[in-house]
Amino acid sequence: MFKSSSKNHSGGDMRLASGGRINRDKPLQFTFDGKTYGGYEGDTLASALIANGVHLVGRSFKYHRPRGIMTAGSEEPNALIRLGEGAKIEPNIRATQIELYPNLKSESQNRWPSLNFDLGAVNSVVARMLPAAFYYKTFMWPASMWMTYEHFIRKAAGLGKAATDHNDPDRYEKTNAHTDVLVVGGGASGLMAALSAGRAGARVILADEQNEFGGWLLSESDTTLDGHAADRWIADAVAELEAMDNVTMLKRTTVFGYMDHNYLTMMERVTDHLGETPKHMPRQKMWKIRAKHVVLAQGTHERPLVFGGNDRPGVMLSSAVRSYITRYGVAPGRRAVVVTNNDDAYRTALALVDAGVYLRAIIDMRPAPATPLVSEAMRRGINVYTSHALVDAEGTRHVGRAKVARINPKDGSITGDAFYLDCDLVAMSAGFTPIVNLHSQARGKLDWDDQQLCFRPSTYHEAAQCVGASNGIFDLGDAMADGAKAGAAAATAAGFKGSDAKAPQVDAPVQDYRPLALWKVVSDANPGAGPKAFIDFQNDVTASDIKLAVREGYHSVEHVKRYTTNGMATDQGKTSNINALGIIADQLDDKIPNVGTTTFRMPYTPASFGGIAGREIKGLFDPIRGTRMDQWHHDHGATFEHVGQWMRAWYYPQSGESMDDAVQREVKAARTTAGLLDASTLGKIDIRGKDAAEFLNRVYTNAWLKLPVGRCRYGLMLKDDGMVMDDGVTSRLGENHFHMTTTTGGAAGVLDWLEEWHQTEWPELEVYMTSVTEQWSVSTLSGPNAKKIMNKLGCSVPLDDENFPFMSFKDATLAGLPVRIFRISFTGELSYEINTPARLGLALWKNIMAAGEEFGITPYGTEAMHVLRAEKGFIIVGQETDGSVTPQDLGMDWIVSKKKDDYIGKRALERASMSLDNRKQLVGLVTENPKDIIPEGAHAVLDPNQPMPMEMLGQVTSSYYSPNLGKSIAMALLKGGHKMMGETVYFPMIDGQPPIKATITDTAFYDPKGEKING
Amino acid sequence: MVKLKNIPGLSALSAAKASASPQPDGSKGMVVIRDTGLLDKINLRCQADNPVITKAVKRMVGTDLPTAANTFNQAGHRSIIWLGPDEWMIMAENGASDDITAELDTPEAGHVAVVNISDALGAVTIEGPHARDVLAKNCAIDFHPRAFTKGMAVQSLLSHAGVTILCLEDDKMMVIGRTSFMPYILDLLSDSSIEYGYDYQAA
Repeated sequence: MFKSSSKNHSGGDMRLASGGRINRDKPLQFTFDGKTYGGYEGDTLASALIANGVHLVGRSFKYHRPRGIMTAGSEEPNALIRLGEGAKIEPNIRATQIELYPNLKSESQNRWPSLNFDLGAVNSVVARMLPAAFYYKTFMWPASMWMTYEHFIRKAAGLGKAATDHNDPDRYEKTNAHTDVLVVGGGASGLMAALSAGRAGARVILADEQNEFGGWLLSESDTTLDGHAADRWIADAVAELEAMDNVTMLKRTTVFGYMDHNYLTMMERVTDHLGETPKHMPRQKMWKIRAKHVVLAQGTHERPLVFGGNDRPGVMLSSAVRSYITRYGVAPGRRAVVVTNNDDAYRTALALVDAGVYLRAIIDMRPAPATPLVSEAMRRGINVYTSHALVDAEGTRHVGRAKVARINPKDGSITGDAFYLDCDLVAMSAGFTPIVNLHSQARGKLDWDDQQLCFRPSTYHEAAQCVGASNGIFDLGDAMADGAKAGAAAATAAGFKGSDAKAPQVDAPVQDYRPLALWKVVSDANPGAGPKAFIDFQNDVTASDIKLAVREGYHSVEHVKRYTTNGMATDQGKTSNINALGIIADQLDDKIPNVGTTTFRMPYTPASFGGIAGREIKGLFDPIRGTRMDQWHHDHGATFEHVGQWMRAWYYPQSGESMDDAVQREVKAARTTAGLLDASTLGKIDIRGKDAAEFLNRVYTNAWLKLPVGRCRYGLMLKDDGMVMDDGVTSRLGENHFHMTTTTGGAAGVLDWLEEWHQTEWPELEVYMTSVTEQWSVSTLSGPNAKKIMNKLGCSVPLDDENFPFMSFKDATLAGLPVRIFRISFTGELSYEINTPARLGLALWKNIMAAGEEFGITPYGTEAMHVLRAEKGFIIVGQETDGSVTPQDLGMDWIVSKKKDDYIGKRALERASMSLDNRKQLVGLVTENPKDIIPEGAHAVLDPNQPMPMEMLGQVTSSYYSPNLGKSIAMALLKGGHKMMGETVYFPMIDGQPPIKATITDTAFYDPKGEKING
Repeated sequence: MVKLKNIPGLSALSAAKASASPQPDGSKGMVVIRDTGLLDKINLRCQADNPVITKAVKRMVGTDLPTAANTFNQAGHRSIIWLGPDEWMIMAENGASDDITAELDTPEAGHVAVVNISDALGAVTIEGPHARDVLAKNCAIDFHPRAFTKGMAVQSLLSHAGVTILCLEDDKMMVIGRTSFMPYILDLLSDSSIEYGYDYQAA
């Protein structure tokens, strides 16, 4: 039945002459470890390798044991492959899930220097010295050596290697979807659920991790549905579903996470199977699903049997062997032994015989199985050894012979002489585990099924239903009916009139679904000298490791898991969990349900970081907000700084200027002639209502009721703990109408804050708030020549101090544009904050720059703004404050009303601790050497020669060189600072330089009497 | 006072030039994104049963004040969007806000806040058979044709930007965002449309 290698080599020597769902008209070439092989479209990398007789595909994690392909699905623990080249390299991909594409390049992992000759395999020789928790036990002492140990452990550990070029060229996307019913798994029961729900009219998403729908049915050749081969029924069902507008069918899509409120995440491998990704397409797409109801039809995982050498290449799960034969047209061996504790493996045995493989024997651990399948095997002349077990799968890099012995099925002890069967394939089955990973992620509970030896879903935390095999219903007809029922129920629950889709007439071998409860065969070797029998193949955990952990006192399954690392590999214990529980229970002489089970965590299978990030990278990582004058700043060479999500012009260096040069030039210009600042980012809130003044009176510390219309006032806002939260100037536009400004970073938070107080505490106040931050563009003109420039621009209102005094505003036209001018100042100079509807912001700015040219007007950025205000001792919330600073700490007691009944923070300020003398208080600092600039954040001490740790007084909050004063100035929060005027403090430097000496002063460094404010 | 509509001004996306990405083979239709340019917007806050306002809205917008959550009413070029139990937004052609405001913001109306925010917000329309898919890539709202129907208006996040999204037609939506976020929103929408091909048309 095998293809002759001389006839056609492209599909591999082990390719069967016919059968399988591969496309024999489309031969493909691929490489594995540099060698070129042939396969077909429809192959997985695993099936193509097996077709070429390649079973050895990797080395194990700890012992570097040769490992082969064990499964045919996503539960594969061994065959982890490094795929692709250069920046597209992806490690740890399961060969069983890699669809073959032309010129696919793959490499084995965890081997050096080569797969066949691996130096790390010495670990296998010294394995007795590497028991469970070896690292914990060995490298703990002496602690000082850990750094040395770690270097070597890190080098030896880890699976696979990521691309060294981190510029992944592929595109990844994310999307959201809502659905009435999400069906996870497109096998027989999942299709039935989708049919029921879809026909009822519900919105359905059906997701399946494989390249085609049908699930396990695609691997069965002995089953008919309504009298036809199963794939005909599948094709009909898929066609019907695809024709429904309300159904979304997603192949190659793994649901990997199940969170609260039926929120699930899934990864669609959109173009992975193409090899080349079209530029406009994502390689993978992560779906975020909100489902009203979830139907989990994930099927089962077959369990490996626990015997010596069960990890050797050529030892495979029985169902996988059947799948390779039926679905991929590949024989995984030439001489096979089937070993089982249940009926299902008999179907594999018959498939092997049908495929022309020489079946040596079925080794059945059960004492006297008398089911139709057993009879059929005997009828066909297959050697069946009952009450026998496979004791050791011997061989080097591939299984060569099976050591078989008669056992006592009750305790697994060997009761007869062992004999050997030559073979290159062992198909093993220890029964089936319903896939309850997602159910468990969603906090669903499990019950132990004593007959079928598996955990089955019991209670649900979410609106979900497990169906078919994942519900512990293994009979195909029953499973399909179960799926149909759940699909109808889900649709009904979502508000549709659902009824069960009629399940087809199933004709399949009658099976006994009760495996023998025998978790491990007792070895006949001397204690400690037996062959390794693996439980967790990916993390190299053996049955002995589990037993050792129990002997050492770890009786909780959660402890055993962490001590041995069983179930903690990337496969999440899919094949190992139940076997480990069985052995723990045996050791404790207890039952599995009493031992319990560990919690399944997401992801079900590993999800790529690319998919999780999606397009939230580079320019789309976070919005960058720019003002209407943004392009002008760019065109004039500005550098920018982040202020929240805004990018604000920081300074405008001219050719050859350093940042210091530029900032000092800008600062000087603003004091000697005129400077222009883009202040558009300031938060602005329109406040209206007959109680608006009363509302402000409650949210600010100072008095607002009597502010005349047309005037502006500075205000401090406190949190209810009395700490400064925001500040700004608010102007009275009308009797019941105010325009509030906030800090740039605080804008959104302040609006929320005001709404919250209004809605929850003072709903009786008639007041409405509306954000107008972006309605206005703001150009702030500052400096002694500001008035001249305003006049030159044809300002429509008189600018003399009597008509337009400091802290007032006027609506006017300027350069023919409608403006609202606020005479307020953050520099201490004569200053106009000119607001205009944002569409005219750039025009206004350009007009001002042009008019100011003859005066040497200078655009200045946020850095110069910071220096200018520091020269005046004005605070910046968030720089001089950090959420622990009161107005009094800032020396701003003058702004705190003593007369008002209440305002936010008042009660907190009245606490005794708020008026302690040793609170950190804001002071000015002048350095002894005027050129020394104290680093911001530097800590002050009284005596720089005291032993460490030194007693620290506080820290510098702002520090600049002031070109207008010709000296360095700083502000600091120092304990008891207000009573230390004139005292000397020191700032030790971390770079070994001598401490900086400074004198404590008032914070108003420049023009302390405020004589400059009128120009 | 100077009339704004008589002065050439810049919209939020004035700096964004027309751009396109070709329609890949087999796609059902490309995504068309259009800048709405200068549209007037007025934020309205009042009680939903304010009789003066409901009449004024009827007069100036041509429709009732919508009181069902997440809906908008439209009449010709003007529409009014429900934003909250006591908050709406009126959209109208460029220059219309002065007249509309004058009708709404009267002493007789009592406790109301009528605020011109024409320049605070920008808007684009997104059109085509994949418009909903493009929005779904960036927003957790249910955009299925059964769930998001003509006349609905939702407030949510488009990736990291706060937006209001209107369903104008089955395959035509409007995305309204703060002006400083509009370049980012345009980048998001066009990037998400590459899969289908897109055409961005500046105002």
